[in-house]
Amino acid sequence: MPDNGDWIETCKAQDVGREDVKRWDHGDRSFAIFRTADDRYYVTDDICTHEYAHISDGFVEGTTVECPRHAGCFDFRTGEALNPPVCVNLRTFPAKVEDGLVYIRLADD
Amino acid sequence: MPHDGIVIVGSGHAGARAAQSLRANGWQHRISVIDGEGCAPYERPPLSKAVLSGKSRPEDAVLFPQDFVEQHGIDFRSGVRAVGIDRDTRQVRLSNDDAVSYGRLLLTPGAEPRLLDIPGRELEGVFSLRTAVDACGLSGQLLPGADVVIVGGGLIGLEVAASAIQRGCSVTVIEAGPRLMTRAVPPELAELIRLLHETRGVRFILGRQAVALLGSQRIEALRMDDGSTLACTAALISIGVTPRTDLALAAGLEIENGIAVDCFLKTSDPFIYAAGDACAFKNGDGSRLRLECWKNAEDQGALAARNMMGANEPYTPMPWMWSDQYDRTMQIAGHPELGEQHVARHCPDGSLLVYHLDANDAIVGVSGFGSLREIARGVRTGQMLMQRGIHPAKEALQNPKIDLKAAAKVAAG
Repeated sequence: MPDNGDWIETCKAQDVGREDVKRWDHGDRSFAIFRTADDRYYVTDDICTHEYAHISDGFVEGTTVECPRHAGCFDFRTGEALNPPVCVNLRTFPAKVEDGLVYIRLADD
Repeated sequence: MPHDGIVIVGSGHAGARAAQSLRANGWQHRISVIDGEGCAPYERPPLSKAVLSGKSRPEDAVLFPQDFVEQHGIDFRSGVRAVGIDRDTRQVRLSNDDAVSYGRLLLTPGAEPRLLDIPGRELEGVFSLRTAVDACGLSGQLLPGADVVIVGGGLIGLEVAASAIQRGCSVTVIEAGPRLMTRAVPPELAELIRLLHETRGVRFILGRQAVALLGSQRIEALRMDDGSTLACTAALISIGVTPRTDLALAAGLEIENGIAVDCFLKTSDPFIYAAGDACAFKNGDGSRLRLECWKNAEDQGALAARNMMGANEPYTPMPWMWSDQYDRTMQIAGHPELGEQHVARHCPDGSLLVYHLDANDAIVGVSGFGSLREIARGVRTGQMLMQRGIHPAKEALQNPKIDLKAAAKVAAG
């Protein structure tokens, strides 16, 4: 198995706006790819842990994202649920940028 | 600090959040929750939407995490009502003849659907919507082909209209006022929402009042003030709510359009606090305000808990509310009613955002109806502009190609 074998290519790094988020669908799952103001990239599940909504439709400020439906906030670096109504953390995934492309690694599940 | 326990009367949103907030902030003594409803505390917003459209059940959205009551040793009195407050001995008398003492008491009684005082309101098939039991009863009537009449074109009435249409009912909404959602929603949005409902098949009758509900045992028709009748198989009465103040009134607490509290949510008795739909709080300008929305119950419940523990933080509301109808969403933040100029921003996907400005071009409110993405982002950006006191040019507010979030960042440095 080559070193990079379990990294999956997602999108161009420049396609994710600074301090913003982009949705990426893979199979039947949606992921949220975040880019900070200083160009660090993070990936979480895209479906809110409270009620059904795509986190990638939400508002990013600093390192938090606010769910568009009920304004629950998560720290997208750790997935931590920060305020009600969200109380269950978002799942996070390792991400890296190489040659202008964002890669993520899915956990074994 | 009171060490003889905190009693919370009411286990709706504000009461349940207060209990959680007390434990989260380190309150180690007794917490008694007097729950009149007899079930685990639950979220009310889904009742008119996901529950009525058949996508979820009330128990799918509980407020307490699993095992919260056991783990945190909450004295939860299920199905028991508070019938009196003895302020001298600091005790709450209960409907099961028991009594519970308090060091601090929090009243979160909520509000009661306003009754339509007309003949026939006791007929089968006539509903109001406030509780999980109400929602399950009404849901049973929303069968394909049912004729549903909704009295009151406010938020609840319209959310129910959307749910009923999605379940194959035919729906008529009667509203006494000249337009829909007069109290809560700016006219531009109300018009857009009416048009969407009409394209989905909802019929509106504006400027008419219901004067009688007709039928022998079950409702069969509704008569309006022009003498005409509408045949129906079920009716929802959704003409607003009144705060439940009986308990506070009988205890001699100050009442003013709700249970009167100061900016710290303390009533006229320093050992008693109030929060949620029934709480009439002192606003920054000295006026008294009562808000009937999820965000207010959420924030006041948590704040009352901290203040009962001695925090003394004033309540500074940043009003925010939402409504989901069909696949669209509406959000309103701040105070659109204080706006003297209304700047519309039409997004390419058909969403409408309206920025409400005062005479000096300061944003005092923002409202929107459309896709979740455009509305959530647009309203949140509006809140950020308000909080930071940034006044973008009207041309920038209008133009969907101009990124207001970036403008807010640049202006803030």
